This record gives sequence, structure tokens and C-alpha cells, in this order.
Amino acid sequence: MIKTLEVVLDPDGLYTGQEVVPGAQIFVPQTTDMYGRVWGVYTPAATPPNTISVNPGDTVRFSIRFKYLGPAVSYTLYCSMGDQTLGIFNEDPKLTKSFSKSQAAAPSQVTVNLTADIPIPTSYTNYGWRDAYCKVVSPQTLSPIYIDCINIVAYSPTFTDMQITQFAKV
Amino acid sequence: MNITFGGILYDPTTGVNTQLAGASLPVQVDPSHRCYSMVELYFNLGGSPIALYAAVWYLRPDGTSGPSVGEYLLSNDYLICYNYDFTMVGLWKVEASLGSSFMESWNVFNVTNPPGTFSDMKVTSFAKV
Repeated sequence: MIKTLEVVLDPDGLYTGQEVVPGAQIFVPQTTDMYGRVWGVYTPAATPPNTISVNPGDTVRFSIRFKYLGPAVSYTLYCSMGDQTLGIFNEDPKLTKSFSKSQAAAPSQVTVNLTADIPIPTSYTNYGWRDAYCKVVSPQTLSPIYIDCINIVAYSPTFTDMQITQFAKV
Repeated sequence: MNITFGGILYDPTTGVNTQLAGASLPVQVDPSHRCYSMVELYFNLGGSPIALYAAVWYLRPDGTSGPSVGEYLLSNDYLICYNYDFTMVGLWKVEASLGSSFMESWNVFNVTNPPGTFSDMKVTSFAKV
């Protein structure tokens, strides 16, 4: 008999005012308190806008869009690639980066488009499909988590441009 | 936030300033409004509601008066101080006049900007560069 594994996550991990919406949810760990409890937020899973394949040494560019309303502000944009397992998103520290950004005052809501680049280390060997998300750190605003959006593949040995450059009597 | 307006009633016919010890002008600044501050002026001068003119002034950091908002209103009415560009933060002045008399007070309330809100965050594309 096969039983499904049910994972019950602490609803207190939700930030005040955040609602769990129907559909697939992923728990994004944020902090661990003094008792070892992991606190985080739930964010919906989403189909990625597109998928790409990259090699170590390449750079992945996130094109990001959000809405903003309020005074001029400096904020931290945070982008991460990782893997979600059993509804938990595990960030890969080698594929996670923070960016310092600033936003002009927006008396009415504006749509902001920007990009963030994360280089794949040349020594990276954890190949396969990565999931990804981004957020504004404070006030925390998360994107959905995009499943299987970036495929990191090893360089396959390739021989090209073969030619004989010289003939010589030896 | 409730701030008591300890105003001065000035009578130009006599040139006498009278501290309005018995009258108060609580001012409420509603921080929940994102693009403006709503100042509620409650005039408790006794008796029935009376028509008067009230204005609020922004005090620039250099001490001069900035933009103002004023209108005729009844006691227990409110005045909205727009702060659309989020720049008029700091101290404001309240002034109210009734007939030829007026009362005013500087540094009556302090307007602070609410935190900005980010929403609808999404990744629109991934690209290799």
C-alpha cells in the first residue's frame, strides 16, 4: 500500500495579512529562530515565462516586473535559483544574489521593469533543472516560484575548426 | 493620533491675544492614506456647530510656509492635506478663523510618509547573456 506523504507546515509561518491562495504552494524558508524553528512564507508555484539552458560560466538574466506605490526608496532585490522539494524551496547559495536598487517616488501606482544578472560559476557542477524566484526584501514582496525554468548543463566536449596549419619535413 | 491644538484667538479689533485654554482642536493625521494626509479638525468652541475657515500649512525645513490647503467648513468637519509628491513631510501649521478672529498654531502635527508598497512581482523572462 502506498501512502502519500503529507507535510503540515506551521501556519504561523505566514506573515500577517498574507493569505494562502488555492493552488500549489511552496514554503520559502526565511529565518531560523533560537528554538530551531524555520519561519518562512508560502508563495504560489507558477509556470515559468520561458525556459533556457545555460552552461557554467554563462550569466542568467532575470527580467522582472512589479508595481510600486510610495515615496522614493532604496531597496534590496533578491534573486535565487534552487530546487523545491516537498514544497520547500532550497536556495542554491552559488546561484543567489542580492542587488541594491532605488525607486523614485510614485504618487500613483507605477509598473517597474528591471533586470538582474546571476553568473553561473565556471566551477559549477550541480547540473540539471533549477527553479527560481525573486523578491524585494523589505517590505517583503515575492514573485511566484517558477519550476524547472533554467537547465544548467555541462559543456560537452566539442572539437571544431579542425585544420592542418603546416606540412613539414622532419 | 490626536493632538490638542493649543491655539490663540486673536481679536484684531482689540488687538488682544487670548489663549484658548478651554477650547481644543484635536488633529488627526490618518497614516493609512497612501498619497495624502487627512487632517480632521474638530472645533469644540461650545454651542451649535459654526461655520469657520480652516487652513493647514506646510512648514518648510527652513521655517517658511509651504503649500497650504484651506476651506470653509463646519466644526467637527475635516480637511484633507494632499501630499501627492511625498515631499511635504514634517511639521504642519493649523490656522482657523471665525469672523475677524483667528487662531493658529505651528508645529501642530507631523506628517510622515507611509512605506512604499511593492506588488504583483513576477519574472517576465529568463535569458542567457
